[in-house]
Amino acid sequence: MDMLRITGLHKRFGNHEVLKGLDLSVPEHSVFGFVGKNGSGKTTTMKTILGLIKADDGEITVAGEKVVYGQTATNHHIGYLPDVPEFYDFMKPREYLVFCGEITGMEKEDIEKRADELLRLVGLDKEERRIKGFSRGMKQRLGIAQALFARPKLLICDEPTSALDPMGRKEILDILYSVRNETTVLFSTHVLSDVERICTDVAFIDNGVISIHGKLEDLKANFNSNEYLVETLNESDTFVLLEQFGGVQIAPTRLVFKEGKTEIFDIMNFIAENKIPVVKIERFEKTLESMFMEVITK
Amino acid sequence: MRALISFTKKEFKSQIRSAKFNILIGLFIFFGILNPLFAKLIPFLFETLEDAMAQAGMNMPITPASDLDSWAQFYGNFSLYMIIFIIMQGNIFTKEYGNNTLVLVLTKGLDRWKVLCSKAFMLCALWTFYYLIYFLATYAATEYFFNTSIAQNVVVSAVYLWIGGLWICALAIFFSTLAKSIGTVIAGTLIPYILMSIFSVIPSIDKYLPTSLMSGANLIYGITSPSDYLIALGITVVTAAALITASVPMFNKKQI
Ligand SMILES: Nc1ncnc2c1ncn2[C@@H]1O[C@H](COP(=O)(O)OP(=O)(O)OP(=O)(O)O)[C@@H](O)[C@H]1O
Ligand SMILES: [Mg+2]
Repeated sequence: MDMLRITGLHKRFGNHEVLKGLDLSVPEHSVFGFVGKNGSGKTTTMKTILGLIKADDGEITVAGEKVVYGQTATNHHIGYLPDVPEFYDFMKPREYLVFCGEITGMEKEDIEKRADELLRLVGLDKEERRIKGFSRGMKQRLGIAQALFARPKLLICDEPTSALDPMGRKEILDILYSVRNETTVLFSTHVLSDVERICTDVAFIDNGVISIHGKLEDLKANFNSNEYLVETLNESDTFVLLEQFGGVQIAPTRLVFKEGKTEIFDIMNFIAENKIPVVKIERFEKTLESMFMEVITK
Repeated sequence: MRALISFTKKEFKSQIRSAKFNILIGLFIFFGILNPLFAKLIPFLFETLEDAMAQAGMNMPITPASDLDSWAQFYGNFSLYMIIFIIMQGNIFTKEYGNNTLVLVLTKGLDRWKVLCSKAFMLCALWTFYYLIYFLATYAATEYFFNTSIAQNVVVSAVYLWIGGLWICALAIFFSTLAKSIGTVIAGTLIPYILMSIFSVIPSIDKYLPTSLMSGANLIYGITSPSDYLIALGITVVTAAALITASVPMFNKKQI
């Protein structure tokens, strides 16, 4: 079953059309990476899922229930960590979590238990200051704790690692990964190594629509044909190789061959037999990064 | 219901943990004590001016000050204090819009109408609280400075004034669901109030206006009786209820 399904989502701000018919489905118990460059509409999409922004067109369902702008019913299924979480800063972290439990209608003992559990998980259990004095990283941690508090079916995090140091980043990613059995995680990021580290699924948003969408393994299998770069000394030799083996000429003396399509050893044999002077032969590993670059520069 | 109580408790905490809360308590005690003091002071001022006025050929009989004058001050200064209250506390909604603190609350599934109810209740409670302080301070200080008790309908007219204040709170709530900034809320609240105060000089209109509830001076002098204000009272209650009711769909549509 899909925990979240978006169909044909449109949104414009003034005459700037941000979302142009976005479709997205997030399977249950996936850790879903939502990737796109700055200003591509990730935050806008997430806020629309939460009923905070009114869509111009399209439909969103969360756990099978339709999202209605301004109504909060579907939000009972969701835990949300905004890009810049803001709390009541006159409260202490534990007090804030208890408040969260109360407004979501949890039982008293459960609230106490959960508060201890989550404060320990995010490393704020010894913090006695009011939230007023918190750094951004600490707010991000408290943000994760409040988002997970009511055991949501769907956890939505908007760039959860952006304010964190490398250690904190790893910790947060580990937390997101560890909760995948209890919940479905959707998080936005532009750090592709984060996606590779923990995601089961990924979607790239570009120009208002989803351009690539699927299981990370499948995508890697499809896209991850590695490449070889062959650079010759003379331009004429490059031309001979191109005639013989195809490939893509990216510079006067440089050719790129996709692994699998052309057997590199054939090329090497040919070079040896014809005594072609080469500058270098190099193998490129295709990463999510290059895949993404390919998509957005297309 | 527990969510509603919890959110209201949070509103309450945010008030009592702020410096503003104590400052306003101090201010309203001070304002209250000021009323009989002014009433005492004015005859003195006239006395010092008496010789000069007599030389100019003016003869003014000076009546000794009484509790009546103190209560007249109470009503006379009220609008200024109401404005101070709205400026200080009118941000009960807008500060959360500015801070984005409502985002986490609403995305947890708390109904918007509960947020509206809590905040509306809190504003009215704050108003009632400060007004009670203002009233009691005036009452105690008047008892202390004057041993007369000429003023009539003291309690009834104070209750009318309180209801008038609640009506202004209803205006503030309505405009808070409409506007994003505190400036708009203050303007939206005070402009109708000031306009009505101006129109209330026309006697035929006056008795329909909520502002007539706030002109308690006539009541304490015994010029009017409490039953003369029933129409205004009815209109005040109905318009306040209408404002609050209209706030609900406005708040639901609001972009947070
Ligand atoms: N309230 C708004 N009014 C006008 N334009 C807006 C508004 N919110 C977002 N936009 C525009 O919509 C586009 C998408 O913004 P959004 O915040 O969704 O991007 P994003 O993918 O989250 O970017 P980032 O990676 O920087 O967080 C941007 O061009 C932004 O200027
Ligand atoms: Mg964003």
